[in-house]
Amino acid sequence: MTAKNVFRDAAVVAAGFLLSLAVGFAANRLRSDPLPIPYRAPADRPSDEAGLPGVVTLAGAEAAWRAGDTLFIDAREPDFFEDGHVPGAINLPVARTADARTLSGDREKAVIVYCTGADCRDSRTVAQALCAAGHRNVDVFAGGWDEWTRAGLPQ
Amino acid sequence: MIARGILAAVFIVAGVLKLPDPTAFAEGIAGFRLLPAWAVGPLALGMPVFELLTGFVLLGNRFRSAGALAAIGLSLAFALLYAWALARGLDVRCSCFGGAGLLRVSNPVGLLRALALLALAAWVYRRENFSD
Repeated sequence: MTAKNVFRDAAVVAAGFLLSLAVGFAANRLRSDPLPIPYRAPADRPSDEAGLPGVVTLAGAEAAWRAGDTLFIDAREPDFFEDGHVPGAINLPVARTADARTLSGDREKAVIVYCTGADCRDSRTVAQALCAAGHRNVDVFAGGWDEWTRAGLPQ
Repeated sequence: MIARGILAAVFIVAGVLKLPDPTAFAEGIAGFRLLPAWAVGPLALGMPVFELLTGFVLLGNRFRSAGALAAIGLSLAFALLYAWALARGLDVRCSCFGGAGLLRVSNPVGLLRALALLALAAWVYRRENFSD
């Protein structure tokens, strides 16, 4: 074992990493849904479908929560939900989006869906399922649980 | 030999599970809020391939020592990332084994797992270079 060996190994590792990047980029170009580079959070991605849920900011979500006439849906998985959620929210993780159909008889009721924060897409997935199930007043609170707790709002 | 096999298997499994959904993995990386947006995409695309490559190289002969060095680097990076996330109190999934990875970063088992992987990689590297 000499210092020379370490440098040689490190050079091989660096070459391997560059090779991996090249292969990863090449494979991405072949995908039907390539990953955008640079990365964009789900909330910042342009939507290409019509009739999709709207977006509310923290202020909008807080106002709706205080008014008390909006159903909050927590799209995170149950273990996260149990650790804390927006008071009154119900848990509807992506795995159970089929339940969106049976959620509520009132399709006009205002619904706000959230997940962990700007980098999760579960809120959008669940919100889209709600829209597909006929709900007409669905918004995504993109800042999610992160923004809610950082603002010191009730949990 | 067994240690090397385990190490290789961990990286191959981790790579294979991440490969099919780079978008989910990118969201996982972004959730840590450590890297700038321009770095997230390339890392999400390159990392699974690099993990696979590391795993297969560990099983072969030619670049085995370099594979062990890469395994040390990767597991050290995972351990540091984990420790950082724990210290910051981040509540995200680890994304270690694909987007649907079950472990949450707030669970210290993940840090122990990363440290165990680091120890295993260091041991394999030492055997490759110090024994005859």
